[in-house]
Amino acid sequence: MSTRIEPNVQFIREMQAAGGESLKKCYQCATCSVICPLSPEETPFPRKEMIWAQWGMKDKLVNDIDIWLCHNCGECSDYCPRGAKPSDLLAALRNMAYKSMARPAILGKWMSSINYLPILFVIPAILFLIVWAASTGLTIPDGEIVFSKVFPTLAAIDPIFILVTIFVIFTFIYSVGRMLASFKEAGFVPSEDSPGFLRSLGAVIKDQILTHVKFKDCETNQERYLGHLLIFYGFVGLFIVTAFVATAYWADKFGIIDFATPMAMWNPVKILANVAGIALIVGLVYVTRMRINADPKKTVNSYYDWYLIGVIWAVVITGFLAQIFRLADAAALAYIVYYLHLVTVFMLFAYLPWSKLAHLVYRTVALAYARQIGRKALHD
Amino acid sequence: MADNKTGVYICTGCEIGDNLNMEKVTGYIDEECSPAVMKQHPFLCSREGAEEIKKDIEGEGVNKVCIAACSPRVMWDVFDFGPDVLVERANIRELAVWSFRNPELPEPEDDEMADPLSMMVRDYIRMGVVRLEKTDYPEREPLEPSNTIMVLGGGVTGLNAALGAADTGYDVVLVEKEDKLGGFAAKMYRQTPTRHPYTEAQAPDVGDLIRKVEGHDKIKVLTKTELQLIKGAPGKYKVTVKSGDEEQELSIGSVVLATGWKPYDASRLGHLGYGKIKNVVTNVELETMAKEGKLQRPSDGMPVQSAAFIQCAGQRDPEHLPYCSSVCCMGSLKQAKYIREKDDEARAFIFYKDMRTPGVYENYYRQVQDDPGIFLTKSEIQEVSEDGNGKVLVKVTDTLLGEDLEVAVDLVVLATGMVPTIADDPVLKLGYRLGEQLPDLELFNGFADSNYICFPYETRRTGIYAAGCVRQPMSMGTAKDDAAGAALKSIQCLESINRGLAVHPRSGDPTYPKFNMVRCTQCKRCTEECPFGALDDDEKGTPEPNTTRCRRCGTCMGACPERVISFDNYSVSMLNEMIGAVQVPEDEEEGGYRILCLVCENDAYPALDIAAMRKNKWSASVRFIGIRCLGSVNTQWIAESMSKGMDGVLLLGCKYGDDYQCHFIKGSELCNKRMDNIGEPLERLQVEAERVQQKQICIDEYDKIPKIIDDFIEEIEGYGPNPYKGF
Amino acid sequence: MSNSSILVIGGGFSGITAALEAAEVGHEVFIVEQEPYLGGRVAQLKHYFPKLCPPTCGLEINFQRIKKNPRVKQFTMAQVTRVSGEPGNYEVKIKIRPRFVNSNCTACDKCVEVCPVERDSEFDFHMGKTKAIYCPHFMSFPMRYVIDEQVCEGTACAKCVEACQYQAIDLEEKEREFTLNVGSIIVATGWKPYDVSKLTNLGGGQIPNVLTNMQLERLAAPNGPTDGKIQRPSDGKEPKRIAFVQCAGSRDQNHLDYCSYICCMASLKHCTYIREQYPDAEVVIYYIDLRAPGRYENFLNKIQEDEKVLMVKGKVARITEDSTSGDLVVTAEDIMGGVKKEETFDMVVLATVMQPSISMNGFALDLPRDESGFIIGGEEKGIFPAGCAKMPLDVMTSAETATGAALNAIQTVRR
Repeated sequence: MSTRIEPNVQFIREMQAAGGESLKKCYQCATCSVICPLSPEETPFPRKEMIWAQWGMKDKLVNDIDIWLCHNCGECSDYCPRGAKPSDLLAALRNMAYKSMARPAILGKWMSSINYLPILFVIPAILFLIVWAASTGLTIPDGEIVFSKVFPTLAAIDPIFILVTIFVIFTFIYSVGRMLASFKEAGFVPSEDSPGFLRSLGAVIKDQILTHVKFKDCETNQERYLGHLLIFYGFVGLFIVTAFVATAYWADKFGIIDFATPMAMWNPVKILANVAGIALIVGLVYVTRMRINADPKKTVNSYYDWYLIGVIWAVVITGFLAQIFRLADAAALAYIVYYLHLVTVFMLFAYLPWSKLAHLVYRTVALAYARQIGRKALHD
Repeated sequence: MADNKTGVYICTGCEIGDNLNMEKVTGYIDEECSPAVMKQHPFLCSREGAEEIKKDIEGEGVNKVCIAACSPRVMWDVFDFGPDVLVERANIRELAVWSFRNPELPEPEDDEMADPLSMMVRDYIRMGVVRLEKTDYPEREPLEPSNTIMVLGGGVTGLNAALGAADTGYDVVLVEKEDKLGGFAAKMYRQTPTRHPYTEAQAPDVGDLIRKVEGHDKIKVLTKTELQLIKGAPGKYKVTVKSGDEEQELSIGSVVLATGWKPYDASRLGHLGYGKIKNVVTNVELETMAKEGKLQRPSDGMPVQSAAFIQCAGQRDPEHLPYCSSVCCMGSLKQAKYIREKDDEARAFIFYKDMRTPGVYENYYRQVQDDPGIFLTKSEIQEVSEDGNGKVLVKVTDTLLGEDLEVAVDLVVLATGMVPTIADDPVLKLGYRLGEQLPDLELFNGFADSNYICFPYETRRTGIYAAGCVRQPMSMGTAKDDAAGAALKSIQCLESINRGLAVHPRSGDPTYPKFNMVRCTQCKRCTEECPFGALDDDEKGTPEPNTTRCRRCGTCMGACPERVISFDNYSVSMLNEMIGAVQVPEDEEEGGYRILCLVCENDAYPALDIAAMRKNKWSASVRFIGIRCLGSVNTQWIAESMSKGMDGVLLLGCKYGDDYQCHFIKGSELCNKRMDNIGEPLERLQVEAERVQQKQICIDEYDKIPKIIDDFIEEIEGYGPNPYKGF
Repeated sequence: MSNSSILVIGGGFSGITAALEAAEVGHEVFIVEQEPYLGGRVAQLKHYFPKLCPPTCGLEINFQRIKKNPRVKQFTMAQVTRVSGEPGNYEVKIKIRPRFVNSNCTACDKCVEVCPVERDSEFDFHMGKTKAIYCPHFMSFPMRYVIDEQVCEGTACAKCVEACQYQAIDLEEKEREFTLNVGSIIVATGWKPYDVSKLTNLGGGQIPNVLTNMQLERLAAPNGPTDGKIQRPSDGKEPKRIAFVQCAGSRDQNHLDYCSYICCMASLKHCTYIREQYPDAEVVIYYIDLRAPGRYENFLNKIQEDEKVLMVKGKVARITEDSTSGDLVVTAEDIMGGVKKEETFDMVVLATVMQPSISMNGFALDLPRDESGFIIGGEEKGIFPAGCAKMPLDVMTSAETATGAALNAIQTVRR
C-alpha cells in the first residue's frame, strides 16, 4: 500500500522559518543517525525526519516522538556533510510543536516571532501597573522597602500567579493529552508487558533528568551539558525556595508559624536562593556564550532560543537588582525593578506552554512514553 | 649500403663477469659469428664504455653493434649511436645472470659445451648477432598526404574538434547531415554548468561556437550532407559525400568521428506510460517544450504545475540500455528547475536509483536540491498510470521515506538515455575489406570507445578518432576536452604519416610490412586477421596493403604461411635463424633441455626484467626472444624449433577475452588459435602437442614467472626429450 | 616568434600523456616531475577499473614512446620555481633537488645491501620500509636509485659509495637550478590523497586496521610491502570481513565538497582484489550513491552479482577499535532497512577523496583556483591544466584532457 503524497510546501517554509532553514540540503547519508548517541536502533532519527521534512510530510512530523528524544546537542549538525543542520530542524519542529500544541493558539502565534513581543510584554506590564495603581496609586511608598507594600501578596501577586499556574497546568493537561494521542496515532503504542506510564516517568526523572546523563552522552558539547545542568538545578533551587516561602507565608497567615519576608541573609533558605540564583547565572553565561559563538555553518539560533534565554536573563537580572536596590535602600529603583521582575516572571511562566521552556513538560512526557514503549538509544 | 661490420661488446659488470667462463663465451662467439670486433668492458654503460664503442664505429667502421649487457629497457640512451648504427641488445643480465638457477649438470665432456650459464649467454649473443645480420636499415615509405581533417558531426563535439584542428593550422571539412549546426546543444533551453562554480545552468553557448566555425577560413562547412564512402587510407582518403543530389569527392587525411547520440527509443518504454499516457514525455521532449516556452500538459495545454522525473528510464536495465547514460541526473536537476522557474508553487519530483553527479557536478546537485519545491528520493518505479483530470500517478517503492509512495503530477518526464549514433548504423561507411563499421562495438555497448584505459584514442581504425557522445555518454564540458583530444590525434596521425612513421602504440616506428607478392597464394589470412583492417584485396584475393592504416604488429606476418610479409628489422626468416642460433645439447642429461620462449615485448618482456630484478630465478633451459606481439608468431618458428631439437616452445602474451590487454587487439588470441591448429600436425609427427603452449601474463605478474616456466619444463621433462633431437 | 617548446609540469599519467601527444606531433617537450620517477599515482595502483589491467602496461608503452622520441626531455626531482614572460615566450626556472645518484647507476642493488638506515616508504604509504638509498619502484623511470636526504647519514657513513662499483653515488651533490624557454605550459600536477587524520570519527590515521583506499592498493600490489598479500597491518591476519566506507572526506563540507569521482569504482575494484585472494571473505560497501557512470555500470553489475559483497546505503559515521583483537566496530544506518547497526570487521577501507597536490599558495604559477585548489583557468595565458589538477577524474578522462591540453598548447606556440 503506498501513501499518496502532496508535499506541503507551506509547511516546509514554516519549518525553514522556525529554524530548519537548511533542511533541503540533506542528501540522506544518515551520518546524523549514526552520530546521535540517543538515536535508537529501529527507525533511527534524525535522518528520516530530514526526508520527511524535505517532502513536507507534516502528518509524520507532528506525530513524531523522536523530536523529543533529541537533546539538541548539535553533534549531528557538526558532522553533517551537507550543512543541513538536522539538530536545527528537530529544534524547529519542537518550536512548531510549542506553537501549535497548546490552546489558545493565538499565544503560540505571538510566541513565534519577535514582532509580537510587545504584546507579550504589555499584558503583564498593564496587569502589574493596575496592581500598583490600586495599592499606592503608582507612587513609591516611604519607609523600609517592602515589595508587598506595592504588590500585595495576598491581594494580588498570589492570586495572579495561582491563576497563572492553574492556567498553565490545564493548558499542559490538554496539550500533553494531544501529544500522547498523536504518538499513538503514529503507531507508538505500549505493549501489554510495558511498564506503566507513571513508573516510566519516575524512572526517567530519576535516571535521566536529574542526572542529565543524556546531555553527557554528547561528548563534544560539554559546555552545553554544564550550562543546562546549572540552569536546571538553579530553577529547581528557586522552585524549592519559592515553594518554601509560599508555604511559610500561608502558614504564617494561618498562625501556624511566624514568618516574614525579607528573610535574613544567613537564613539557609535565603542562602539556597542565592546559590541557585548564582548557578542559574553561571549556566546562563555558558548557554549564552555557546549560542553567540555558534558556527553558522553548524547551527542557527532561532527566536525561540533567544526568547527563552532573554526572558530568563531578564528574570534573573531584575531579581538580583531588585534585591540589591532594596539592600541599598534605593526605593524608586528597587520598586521599579521589582515591577519589571514581576513582568518578566509572568512572561516566563504564563507563556510557558508556548515557549521553548515547555520542553520541560513535553520532553519529560515523551521520554517517559518512549521508555514505556521501549524506544531507547542503540547503546541503552 | 656499405659493408656490414659487426661489433660485439660484452659488459662484465653487474655480476656478469663474475659468473661466466668468459673464454668459453668469446671463443664460441668468435667461431660462430666472427664479429669484426669483440670486446669486454667492466662497465660498458659508462662514458668510457660507450666511447670505446664509438671509437670502433669511427675507426673500424663498425655499423652493427651487439651490446651484451643489461636489458634494452634500460640504458637505451647510452647505447644510441645515431641512425647509421644498428644496435641490438643481448639481455644477458636480467635474462641470464640475474635469473640464473644452476641446474647442477655434470661437467660437460664435449668441448663444444660449456657451463649452463655461459651457454645461455653465448646463445643470447649469437641470437643478437644473427638478428643484426638479418636487419636492414629501415626504409620509410614515401607519402604526400592530404592535410585536411574531416569532422563528422556538427554538434558541440564536432564544432570544437573542427575549431581545434583549424586553429592549429589544418584544413577542416565539417560534415553535418542536418541543415543546421549545433546538434542537441542548439535545441536546448539551458545547458548544465560547464564552468566553476558549477552551480547554475547556463544559456547554451553553442551559438558562439557555430559563428566561429562558420567564419573560420580554414573550415569548410557542409550541412545537409551525408557521408557516402570513405575509401583509401589515412593521409590519402577519398571521401564521397552527398548534398542533395550532388555528390562530391574530398581528399582527406584523417577523420574525427563526432556523430554523437540519439535518444533511446521511448516507444519501448510503455511500462513507464510513454505512448500510452499523453502527459508522459521524454527529457528531450521536455527540453523542446521549455525552449519554446510551452511548459504545458500535452493532453490539454494546461500549465505544468507538477512534474515527476523518472531517472534511468531504460538505462541501467539489461532489457533496454545496460549502461548508465552519465548525464541524465544532471539533466533532470536542470529540468526540475524549469518546472520551478515560472511558478513558485510548482513541484518537481525526482525518482532516482543513485544520484550520479560525479566530480565537481556535485556542486550543482547541492545547489538544486536546496529548492523547497524539488523533491528527491531514491526509489524503484512500480507503476505509472492515469489518475483522471489529466494527472499521471507515479507509484514508487523502496524509498528513503520508509514507505511506498505515490504522487499525482501534471507531467511525467522520462530521463531517457543516450544511444550512440554508430550503434546500429554504420555511420562511417568505410570502403574497407573488413567492413564499413568500427569492429567489436558490442564490447562497448555500441559506443565507439577505446578498450584501453590509458589510451582513449587508441582506435581500431587508424586515422579515425571518435570523440564526444559517440564514444562515451558525456557532458558538454567533457565533450569539449574530448573534441580537442581527438583533433590532436587526427593531427598527430597526419604528422606521423608525413614523417613515414607509425602511430601509437609503436609510434615512431619507421618500418612497415613489405609484401613479396610473387609468393602469395591468395589465402587471404593476412587480410582477414589484420586487427586494423589495413589490408584490402583484389578480386583474386591478392592483398592490397595500406601502410598508413597499419600499426606494425606483424599479425599479417604471423598469419602468412608463405613468408610473403616481412619488416626491415623483423621477419620470419630472421626469427628462424635466431632459433637456429641456439645451441641445443644433443644429450639433455649433459646439457639440459632447451625451451624457446617467445615473449610479447610490451608486457611479458618487462615482467621478465622485473622478475629478475626481484631476484627471482628460473630454469636455465629457457631462451627468450622478445617479439612485437604474439600475433606475429608464425607457425614456422615452431616447426623450426622442433626440427632443431628444442624440447618445447612457450609463448608468453597478453590476456585475451573481452577485457583483452593486447594493444594489437587479438594478437595473443590469434596466436593461441594458431598454436591449437598446429597441435594436430605435431601429433602426426609423434611430437606431443603440449610441447607448445601459450600462457597469458600481465606485466605485473612477474612473481608468477618462475612457476610458469618451471611448471612448463616439468611437463616437458615428463614427455622426455624432443624425438627429433640430433637429427 | 613563439618558442615552440612546451613545458609540462607533472610527470604523472596526465603529464606523460600531454607531453607525448605534443611531442609526437613534433614539438619539443620538457616534463618536470618532483618525484624521483615518472608515472605518478598510477604507478602505485595494482589495477585499473573496470578492466582490471595493470597500469604499468600503459606506463611501459609510454616509457617506450619517450625512449624513442628525442623531443621529450624529462627532469625528475625537479620543481618549477619561477615563471616569467607571456604566452609564446615563457622563461621558466627549474630547481633540481639532489638525487645523490647519477646516471652511472645500473640498478645493481649493491648499495641497498650495505645501507644501514631504514625509512618508511612513502610510495607504500608508510606500510613498508626501504633503505635510505632505494629503488623508487620496479617500474621506475628512470631506473635509477635515489637517496632520501632526510634520513641518510651522508658522508659520515658513505657505505654505499664504497659498495658502488660504478661511481654512481655522489653524497655531495647540490641542488641546482637552470632556465628553460618555452612557449606554452601544461599543468598536470595531479592529486594527493586527503589527510585522513582529519576524519577523526572514522579513526583515520589512528586505528591501524583502518586503511585508505590507496593503502589497500599498495597492499594488493605485487610490488607492495606484502608482495600483494592483503593482510591486516596490526597483526598480519587475513581479513575475513572487510568494510568499505565511501565518501570518506568527499561530498562533505567539513572536508571536501566535491565528489571524488573515482572512489565508488575504486572500491568495487578493491572488492575484486579481496575476493580473488579470499574466496570466503565478506565485503560490505557503505555508500550514499553508487556512482558508476557510463559503461562502468557493467562493472558495478558484475560486483553486485557476487553474493559475498553487500552494498548498504548509509554512510559510516563512526568506527571504533577493539584494542585487544584489533577488530573494528562500524556504525551505520542501513537506510533502506531503516536500522542503525553496529557491525564488526577485520579491516576497514576508507574510500578517501583526492585533492589537488599543489598547495594553495606554494605553486610558482599564479592561476585561478577554486576553493579546493583545482585550477579553473589559465587559457588566456597559454597555460592549460590537465587531468586531476583541473578536477577529480578517472584515468581515461585524465588522458583525454591531457591530449586536449596538448592541442591547446600547440595552438599557443604556433600562433
